[in-house]
Amino acid sequence: MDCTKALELLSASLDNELDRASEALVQNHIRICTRCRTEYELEKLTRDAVRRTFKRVRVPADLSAVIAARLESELEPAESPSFFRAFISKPLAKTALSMSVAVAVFLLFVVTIPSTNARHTHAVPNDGNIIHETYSSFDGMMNGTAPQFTSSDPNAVKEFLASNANFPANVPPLKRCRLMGASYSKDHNEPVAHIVYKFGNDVVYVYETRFSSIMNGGGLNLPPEVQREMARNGWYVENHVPNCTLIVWKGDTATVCCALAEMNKQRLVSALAP
Amino acid sequence: MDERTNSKHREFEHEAVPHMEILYNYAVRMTGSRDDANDLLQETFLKAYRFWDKYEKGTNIRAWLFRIMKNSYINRYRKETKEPDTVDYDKIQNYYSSIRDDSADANDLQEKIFGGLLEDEVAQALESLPEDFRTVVILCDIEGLSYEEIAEFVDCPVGTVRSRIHRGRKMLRGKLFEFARKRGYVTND
Repeated sequence: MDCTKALELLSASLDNELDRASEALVQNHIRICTRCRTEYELEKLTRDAVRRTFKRVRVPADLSAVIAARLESELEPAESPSFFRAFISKPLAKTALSMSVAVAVFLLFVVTIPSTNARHTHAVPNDGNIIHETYSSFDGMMNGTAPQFTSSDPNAVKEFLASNANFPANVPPLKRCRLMGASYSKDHNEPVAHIVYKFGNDVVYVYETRFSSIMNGGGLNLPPEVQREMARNGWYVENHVPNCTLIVWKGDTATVCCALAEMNKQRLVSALAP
Repeated sequence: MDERTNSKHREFEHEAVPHMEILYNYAVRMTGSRDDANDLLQETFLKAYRFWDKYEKGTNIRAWLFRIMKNSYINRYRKETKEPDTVDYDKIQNYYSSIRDDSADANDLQEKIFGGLLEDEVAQALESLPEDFRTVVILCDIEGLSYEEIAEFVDCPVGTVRSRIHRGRKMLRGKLFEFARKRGYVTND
C-alpha cells in the first residue's frame, strides 16, 4: 500500500470502519512509514480531543414540553395558544405563553399519574409566604370550613369581596368550573379573598391577595425564586405531591392568585382555563 | 379530533419524538448556542409533523429528521454567516508541512499541540469548520454514528463521508495548531 492510499484510509481505520484486509494493509503501512504514522497519531489525538470536549447534552425538559405543546396545537388549532392570556394581566412574551401552554399540554399526553383517595394535609410554617398560606387555608376548608358567602354568580361574589375585603378582588370566570362561593379574611394583616370552585367533583381553591401585600413591607410574601419564575413564564407551578398542584399567577386587578387543588397539573390547568 | 389525526399523532410521538436528543445535540453543536438550538429543534419537529405523511415508513427516521433539520439550519443561518463555501486547502496543507518539518518527533509535536489544549479552543476550532465538514465530524465523533449512517444522514456515498471526516479532522488540527502557536508552544520558523 502506498502513502496516498494509506492516507485515504486513515480515518476509517481509526474509526474501525475498515474490513479486516484493508485494516491490515493500513496498519502494515504505518508501521514502516513514519510520515503516515504521524498523520495517524495526530488524527487520533484530534478525534480524541473532540470526543473529550463535547459531551452529549440532554434536551431540556421545558424544550421538549414546548415542542409537545406545539405539536398538540397543530392537532387542535381551535384550542391553541390563548390559554392563560385572559388570566394574566400583562401581555406575555411569546415564549412565556407557549411555555404555559406547553407545560399544560405536554402533561396532557406524557404524564399519567395514578390517582389516590388518601387526603394529604400540608405541614407548612406560618411565615406569611402566600404559598404556605394557601396550603393551610385549603386544608382548613377541606376539613369543613364553609365559605362565608355561597353563590355561583361571579358578580355577586365579586361584590361580596369588594365590600368586605377592601381590595378589588378578581373572581376569575372559569367556564369549566362551577363557582361555589367565597370567604374573606385577614392574613398577617393583609386582606385575603378565598374563592372556591368545583371542577367535576374536585374542589379548586383560589387564594387571592393584593400584589402590593406581598411586595416589600407587606405582611405577606412570595419567595423571590417564585417571583422570578412568574416574571419569566407568567406563572409558577409546584406539585410536590403528584396529585396536588399549586399554581400562582398575577390576577388582572393588581392581585396575585394561588390556585390549589388535589389533582395533577394538567387537570388543574385545564380547570383554570378561562 | 378524528381517528386519523389521532393515530398520526401517536405514530409521530412513537417514532419521531424519541430521536429528539440526537437532533438537539447536533443543533447545539452546529449553531454553537442553546437558544438557536431550541429554535431549530422546534422548527424541525413542527415541520416533521406537518410532513409526516411524506416520511416513508421503514426508512431511517433519524436520517429523515436530520435532513429536515439540516435544511432548516441552512435556511436560517447560512445567509447570515459569512462563512466561505470553499476552503483553502493549500493553506491547510502548508500547516502540516510546517508541523512536520518543525518537529520530527511525533510525541514532541503531540505535546506541543494537544498538551495545553483548552476546551474553548476545541469548540472554536469545530465552529470554524465549514458546514459539511463540521457536520460529519459532529456525527462521527460526538454522536458516534457509523460511516454508513452518516452517509444516509448527509445523503452521499460512504467514500465521501470518509474523506470529509479525514479532511474535517485535518482542518481541526490546523486550527488547534494555530491556537498552540498563539499560546507560544509552537514557533513558526
